[in-house]
Amino acid sequence: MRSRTPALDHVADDALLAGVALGDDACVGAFVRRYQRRLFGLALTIVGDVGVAEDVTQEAFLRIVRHAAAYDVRRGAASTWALTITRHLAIDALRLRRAIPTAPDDQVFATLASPAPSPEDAATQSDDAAPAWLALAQLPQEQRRCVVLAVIYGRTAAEIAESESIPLGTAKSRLRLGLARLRDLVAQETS
Amino acid sequence: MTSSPLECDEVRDDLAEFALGLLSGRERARVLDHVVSCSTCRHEVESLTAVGDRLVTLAPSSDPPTDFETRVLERYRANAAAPRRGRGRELGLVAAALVLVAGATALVVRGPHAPAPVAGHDTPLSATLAADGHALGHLWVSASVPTWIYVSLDDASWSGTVWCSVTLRDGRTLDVGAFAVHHGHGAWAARVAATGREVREARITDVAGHVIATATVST
Ligand SMILES: [Zn+2]
Repeated sequence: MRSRTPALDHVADDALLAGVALGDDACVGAFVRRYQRRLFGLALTIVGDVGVAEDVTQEAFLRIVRHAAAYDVRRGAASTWALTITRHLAIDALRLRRAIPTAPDDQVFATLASPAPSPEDAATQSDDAAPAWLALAQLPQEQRRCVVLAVIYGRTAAEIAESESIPLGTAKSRLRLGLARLRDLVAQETS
Repeated sequence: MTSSPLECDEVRDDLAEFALGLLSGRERARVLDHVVSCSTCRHEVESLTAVGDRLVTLAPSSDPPTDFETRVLERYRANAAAPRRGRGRELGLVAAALVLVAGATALVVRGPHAPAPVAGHDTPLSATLAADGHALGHLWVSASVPTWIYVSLDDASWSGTVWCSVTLRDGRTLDVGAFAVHHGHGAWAARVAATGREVREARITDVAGHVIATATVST
């Protein structure tokens, strides 16, 4: 077994993934170290249980390794790709458990869905997340809450309707309008 | 072909949830049925999915339980199938490179990074990979489209990951990728987004960026 390779911790994400795709142990280890906090954090946010979140995160890493060869840098950042895989697995686990999600009451939700998120808060986000944060901050609060609940907490419109005490149709339209508005904001920012 | 606007109205309110992977069972099937046949709604879904993917980066980070890394790596090693990681793949690529040099008109390489069959009568360009005047391996650049680069390293007396990049005649540098070297031997193939004639130099470096070997391609 090869020892830990500290130099790998400074290698670019996509280069590291290329090493992962080749089954290089040192690259796999470096990739896990680099992403474990983010992937586990997302899984825990969605499933709300440490044990299930660990299972989900382990499975996510195994899938990432298995599919690393198919990762295409032109389709987005490696972090986004890894998070998306984790999110899908976490949502599957959540539905399987059929746990009844309650309204999130953690600090993260309080910040993401606060009445007036500030641009300063963007500075506390990771580099790749700052633009998304700034766009999100421009949504009306009720749309922002729905978007955050659906995207980051994996809640369906029906679950959102219940926890927010709003009609189902309202939850669906807030989600749709919020996401569409974000798409336009992101498009403006990149054009 | 585009479906009628009436159908579009019926799924409109579900497209966001569908794009975010939140629908299941019959609801998901109903939206999917429409989306596969309606390009308008399909574009809508694609763009909403892209927005969702960007927002996921906002999720909070959190420390996993103690020894999480060890447990993941144990599962990974248990899962890593022996054949995939053996030398067969490398030998296959070396063979492929040799076949290419011999001027074969078609070749098929198996393995996770296997190039699609390459056909063509053009002679590939070849060059010696060397450091300080010592030959360490060989490089071939296919003359076909897409362009494939084949590299074999035989005298780098260590194991690990190396990075390969090429410099084009116009001065641009392209990353080819990361590759494994086992006990001094490594061979691989990768695509480059340039024509074979544009490639001027290839460079193999270690993870810290130190040059292991370079090859200059003359036309
Ligand atoms: Zn439609």
